[in-house]
Amino acid sequence: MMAKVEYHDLSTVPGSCTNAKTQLAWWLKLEYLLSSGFIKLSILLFYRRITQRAASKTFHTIVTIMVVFQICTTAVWFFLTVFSCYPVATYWTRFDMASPPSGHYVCPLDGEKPFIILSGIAIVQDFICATLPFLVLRHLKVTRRQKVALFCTFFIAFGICGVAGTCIRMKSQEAYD
Amino acid sequence: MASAMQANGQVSSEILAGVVTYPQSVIDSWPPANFVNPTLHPPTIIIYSAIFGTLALASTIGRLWSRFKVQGNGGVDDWCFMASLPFSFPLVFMTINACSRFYNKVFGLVHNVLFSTNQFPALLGCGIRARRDDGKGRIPRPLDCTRQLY
Repeated sequence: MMAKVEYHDLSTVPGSCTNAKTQLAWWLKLEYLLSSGFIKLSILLFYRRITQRAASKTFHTIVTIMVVFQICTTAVWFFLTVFSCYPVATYWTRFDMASPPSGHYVCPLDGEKPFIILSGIAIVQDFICATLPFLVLRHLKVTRRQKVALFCTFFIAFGICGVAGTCIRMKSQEAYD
Repeated sequence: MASAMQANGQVSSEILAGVVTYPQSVIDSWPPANFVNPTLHPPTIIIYSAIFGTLALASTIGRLWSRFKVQGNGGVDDWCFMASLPFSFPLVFMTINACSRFYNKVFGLVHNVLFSTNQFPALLGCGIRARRDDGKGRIPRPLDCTRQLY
């Protein structure tokens, strides 16, 4: 939404303040995406490992596809974040109104839309990751009580990590303030 | 960018696309800026990060110890998990650091410009009250470190 814009004293904000905080936000974003990417990859590889002899070929194929998909998504997200501005440093120096970056720079990927899309993809990935164990547990030959206990354990993870966490993250991307 | 500041003192909209403003009556209702002894945000994020960061550290050490030392069969999934550690634990510490040092103060209104998502990290904590309009005239509920602005 564009509305009437009134600028007042944005120039009074010292560049040293804006630069440090934007750079910090940039690092936090990078660390978040890399850590969550590796953790999800680890979970998928763990599924592959524990079901090596027990699960069907279809299950292994799904897990392998998910592993490849996870690697691709993390790589894309990484490059989107690093090169959201070019030259990279202008991501945090462009708000310095007193001494703006010299020369031409572009920030084609700096916006919320790519990240909302990627958060949407992450929701799907989390949902599949959380659902996969149920496929194996269904055919597990254990007592009914043990099966219920296992389902409950995975369901807690499903609820907290799989859905709630990602949805909150997406919401915070959308209304990031 | 040719020039951030135009001759008339206004900031070029080239870098501030998506900026919106609130009605003057709403702006007038906000308290004035206070840089001397600003209100502090509640330490919610710091507490959450400390609790879950500690739990994550303990469970990580437990998992890796059991796989590599007890069972002696660490696999590619464990190595992948280890690869996430250089990013996940600094993330916890940096979040605590950022929320306790940078993003914990409520300075109040400095000017009435609202910023879109990508501009807000630069201004938050620098004495700017950055709010994002939801396009329907409503003020979205603040999240995380930026709570209790209103």
